[in-house]
Amino acid sequence: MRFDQPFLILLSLLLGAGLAVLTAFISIRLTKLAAALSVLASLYFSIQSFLVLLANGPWHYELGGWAPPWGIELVIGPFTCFFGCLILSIALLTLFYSRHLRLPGPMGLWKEKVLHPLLLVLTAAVLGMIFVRDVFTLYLLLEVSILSAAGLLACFGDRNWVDTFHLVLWGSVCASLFLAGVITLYAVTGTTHLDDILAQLFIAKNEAAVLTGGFFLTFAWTYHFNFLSPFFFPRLLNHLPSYVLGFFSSVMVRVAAYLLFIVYFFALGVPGFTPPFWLTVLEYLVVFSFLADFFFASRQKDFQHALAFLSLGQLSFLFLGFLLGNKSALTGSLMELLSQVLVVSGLFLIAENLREGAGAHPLSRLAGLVRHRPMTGLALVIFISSIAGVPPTGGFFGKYYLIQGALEKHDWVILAALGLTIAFNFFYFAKLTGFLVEHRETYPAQPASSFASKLPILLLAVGVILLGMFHQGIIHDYVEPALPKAFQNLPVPNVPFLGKAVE
Amino acid sequence: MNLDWSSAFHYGLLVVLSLVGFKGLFSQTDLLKKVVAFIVFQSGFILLLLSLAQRTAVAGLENHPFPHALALAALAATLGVVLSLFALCSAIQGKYETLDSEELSKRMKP
Repeated sequence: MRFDQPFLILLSLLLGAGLAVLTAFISIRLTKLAAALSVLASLYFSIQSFLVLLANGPWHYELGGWAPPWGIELVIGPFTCFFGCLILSIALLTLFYSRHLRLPGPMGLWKEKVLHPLLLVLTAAVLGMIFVRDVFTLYLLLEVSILSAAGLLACFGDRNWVDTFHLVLWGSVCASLFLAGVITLYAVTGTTHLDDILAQLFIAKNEAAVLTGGFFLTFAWTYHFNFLSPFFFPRLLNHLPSYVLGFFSSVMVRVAAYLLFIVYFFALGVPGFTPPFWLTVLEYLVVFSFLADFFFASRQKDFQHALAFLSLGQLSFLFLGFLLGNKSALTGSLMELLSQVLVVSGLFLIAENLREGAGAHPLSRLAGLVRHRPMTGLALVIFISSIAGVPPTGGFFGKYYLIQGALEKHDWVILAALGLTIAFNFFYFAKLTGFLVEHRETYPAQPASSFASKLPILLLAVGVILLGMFHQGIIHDYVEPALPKAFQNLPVPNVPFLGKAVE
Repeated sequence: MNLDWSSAFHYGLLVVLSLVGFKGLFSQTDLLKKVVAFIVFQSGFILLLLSLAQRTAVAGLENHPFPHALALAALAATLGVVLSLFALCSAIQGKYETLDSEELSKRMKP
């Protein structure tokens, strides 16, 4: 039993989805219970895996005892396990917030029943994506995640159908680009396993394959990174419940960013490969375009739209770390990733608590929030301070390591961009905090939400602070083992050579 | 990569097939035509995967069925996506009585 935890983490979610479908014929309460229990079971197996991980290091688990490439190998390290626990916790919060959901229409009740199994399948697909080490399985899981996310959107009413269509179509087009990258790398290396690809590319010294594969595997995530951008999906932002938006923004988008890191540094990170100048310029432009989202966020009049831009803008911090590519910068990126999962989810849950039905949510309603709703207001200040990089939040230490990485690499362009963004965000944070504490009646006088709906937000806010306070332990135990081997503090093997021990 | 002219032509044809589908995805305004363009786009990749089986055989891995297995799995995923897209097209047609994306954006409120 103890040696099948990696599989059980996913299996409990999938079994839970099946059970939720079956119980839907009896009672919706049973469906909700089955869904919540399966996430809890998965969380239990994830926490149990920590014991083995801390004792033996990364866990390589072959499904059904079949070795790759025929079998599917799950690799769970301390970081992926920690990240998985965060994802499961957010899935649990999403289930918790959907407990009072009432969908209109004759099929409303059935849509509510289908919603829970779909959320479980989506969570399983997303978790599978961070555990697998096979690029083709990654493609299949990407398709599963797109279809289950589309199913979730479709459940929330017929006005989302066109956006659902676009999600399935363009999400699948991007998944096909990913497949093109897989085909390119398979044609050159004869393998689909991430570690083997790196080894084969290193042996072949095939820079053209690295560039072509990298091009496809990068563009494959374009749709994910722009998903829920107010430029492309204004209707979804107005119609979908905020906790669902929070799940998409914090989990789906951040997992895509993590997979980009895996692809860059574990499949295509060929030592000695220098990208051409035009590619470097293109990368800088793409990352700076994400930084512009912070400016767009500050110009929004709608709270939910501002949050969507903030969610996109924060991705730029992760990408800056990937661009710098040294140990400090990657440490900063992964630290930011963990912090962002909590922050983005927390911000959307606050929007859910303050929202009154579907439609616009003007920012002006937040005036004096700290005075009228101190706990929610305080949590909002903590989340925004993490984005701005105020100590001792997790976001502060992420940005600290990013700046250190830029200084070590002497990349003054990135350093200037980082400095300007942090200064801009700090100004925005100070302005927003002033707005939240000012003496003004909240318009209109909003009914206070229950303590139960505020508790998850407070827990997430505490999580952001704890991430900052225990950053050294988190970096040492979880982040460093997830870095490429060249950046890990591994002892140099003592290889006997002609009877003598040499280093 | 040592490609002879016939292989290059063969692979090139499949890449062109994908590119035709890709162009259709952007140029067509009708949602149903976009789905057809997606099928063309995706079929180019699946056929490319099948063509690789021959290439791995050339590389010494005689009758290696791995690319075939990959193509089959990709085909199954594509089938799921296309069926979902057709179902959504049918639902959108029923609600808005059009599948033209420009007309749809006019009829839908922001």
